[in-house]
Amino acid sequence: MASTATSTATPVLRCDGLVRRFGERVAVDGLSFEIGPGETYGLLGPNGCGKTTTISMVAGILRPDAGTVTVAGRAMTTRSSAAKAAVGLVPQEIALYEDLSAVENLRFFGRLQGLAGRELDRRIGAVLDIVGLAERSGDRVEDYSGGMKRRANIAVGLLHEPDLLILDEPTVGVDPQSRNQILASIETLGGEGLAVLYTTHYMEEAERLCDRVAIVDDGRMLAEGTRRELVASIGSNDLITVSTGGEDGAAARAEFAAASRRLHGVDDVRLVDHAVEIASPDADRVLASVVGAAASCGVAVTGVHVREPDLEAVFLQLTGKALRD
Amino acid sequence: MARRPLSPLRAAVVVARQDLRRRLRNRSALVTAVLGPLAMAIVFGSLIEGASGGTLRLGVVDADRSASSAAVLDALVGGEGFEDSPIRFESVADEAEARRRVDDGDLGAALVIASGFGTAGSPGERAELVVVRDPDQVVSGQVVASVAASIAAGVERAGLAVATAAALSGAPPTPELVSAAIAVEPSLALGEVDPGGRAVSAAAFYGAAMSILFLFFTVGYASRSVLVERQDGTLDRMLATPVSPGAILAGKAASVGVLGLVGFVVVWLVTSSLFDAPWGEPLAVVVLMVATVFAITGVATFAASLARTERQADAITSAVAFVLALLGGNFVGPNLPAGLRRLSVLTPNGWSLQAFVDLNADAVGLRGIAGALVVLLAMGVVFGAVGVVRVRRVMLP
Repeated sequence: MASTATSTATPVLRCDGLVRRFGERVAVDGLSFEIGPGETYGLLGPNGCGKTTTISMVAGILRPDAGTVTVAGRAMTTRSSAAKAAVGLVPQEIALYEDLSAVENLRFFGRLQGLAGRELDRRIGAVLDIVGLAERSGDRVEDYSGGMKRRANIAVGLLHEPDLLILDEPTVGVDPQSRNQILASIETLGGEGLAVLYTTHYMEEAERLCDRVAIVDDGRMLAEGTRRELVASIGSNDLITVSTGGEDGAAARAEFAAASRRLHGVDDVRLVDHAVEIASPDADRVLASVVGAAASCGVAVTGVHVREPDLEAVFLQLTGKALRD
Repeated sequence: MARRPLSPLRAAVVVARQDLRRRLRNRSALVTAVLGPLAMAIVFGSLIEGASGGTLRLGVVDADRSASSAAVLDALVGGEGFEDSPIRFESVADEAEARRRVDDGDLGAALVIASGFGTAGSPGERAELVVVRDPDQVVSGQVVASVAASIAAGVERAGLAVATAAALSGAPPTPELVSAAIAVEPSLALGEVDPGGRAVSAAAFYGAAMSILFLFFTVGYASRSVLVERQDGTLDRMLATPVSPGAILAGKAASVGVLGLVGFVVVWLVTSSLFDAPWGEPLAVVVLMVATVFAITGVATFAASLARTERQADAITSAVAFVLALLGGNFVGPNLPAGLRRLSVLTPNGWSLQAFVDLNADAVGLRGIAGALVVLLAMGVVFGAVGVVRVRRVMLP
């Protein structure tokens, strides 16, 4: 995870009361948030919840009906060249000319960003290295795999060394290897001080990358904070699953379950087949006592698994529906 | 990192170069801007005016074989009165051969001086002239018919002269007197030939007409590409850079404008060299081409701005191109029927074609087409402005 933003730093991005309607439908409804330098901020929500609309307003390609966007201290509008120069946009779709090579795409978008000559060549080389496409940079994009296209898509957003990198679902449709490479690159960039606005509907990506996450649904922000803060806000327990071996250990398992219930910090215990599930607000604190109880009851432990409540659970709690709905 | 944003002009050049590179790379531009109009101009030019391209090849048959008919034959074949026009008469052995060659397209039309022409000036005798024509060779037929009418009028005047001479002398006219009178008249009459409309090089006319038709498709690409790039996401990516939407649009318009102009010039150069097609004063031709490209770009931008999808844009551009081409006379020829002439002034291509005809047929020069240039520029500004406003709405909703 990238370094956590300090609250005293001047925010790279400030969104205040953003509203956008399409006809009668309110796509974004009063969204406000800030991102500090070096912070990776996630907008987590299902498809159609307003993430891309928010990003379009932040990037200055869609006018908000209400609210303001400020990037690096400059007001963002559809005509604000100074604010736009501080933003690197990586759209959800592969926004590249497929009949051109990666280098030709980079050269074109780099020129539009005001880069030229040696500086342009230097930056093209640098971003190709970051995304791992240097060896295939002369190939046409149409000849790339899905993962390579995604990486080239990201390279364009990084080309002009923006203050804020906007990544809109950058791993959709990507194979696991490329996905991991993309996520690793983003972690590195965040660590180097780049502010990142990251939208996703993949809970695990938000948990891995983001210092803070906003949970968004129907255009509204339902909650915001670090993963731990969000999980704590819904009051869910950690779940310790102790797997046991042997058909003949039923009595020992029952004794172990009863002993576990008496432990301080355990809220609930259930017997499930050959396993015992123990619910606790803080698994780290009770884990040693649980293992000790199992040993004293003569239970043959074959495995222990601890599952903390995740953002999926937070989303479910807040909206009453699963994240991938 | 803060950098100085590109000036709108520089940004437009970057966008234009990018669009040009991509269109030339997939070769669609060569077909639309150059090969298409060139092929159509060659086909139309050849079909309409026979095998000789810019000149009207006409035949003349002397079936009378009198001194009078020989004088007419010599005058026509010698090009008397046609020195500065593309009309060329050649002698043909008999009427049957003339009909065969007209049917084959070897000749545009033919004039047959029938037997008895030599005595037509005598009282009570009539000159018989037969015009052999192909219904598809409209201009050639008009020219020969006009020549025939002119000769007939000359013969009538000769008859009057002979009758007057006979009355004054009190003696009947001799065959020598009749022949002498007729032999003098045709050469005078040929100088007054009205070809029944302006004789325009077919290759030059259809070169311009087909270039303009294909221009709609070439320049319509600009607005269409906005829709395509919106769908592909590259438009949003461009709009997220510090470049104004106006500069992006200007770059796209400039790329298609350059392409359209290059296509126009290539058709001009090829038809001029292959067919000896006289387009007119070069400076005026180039200025007219620029004004035409500007006007058609404006109209095509407006037309494509009515679309919401790439497919709609294709359909609308095609419909507008063909309707305007029909109304403007691109398929009809230089001498429009009266009704169509009235409609053609509503179209940019109508104005442009008429100006090309003026340059070609009347050698009017730049000053002579000033009115058409003003109208074309005005059409480009009005339609282009409305189109740009509409396209900008698509770009920045």
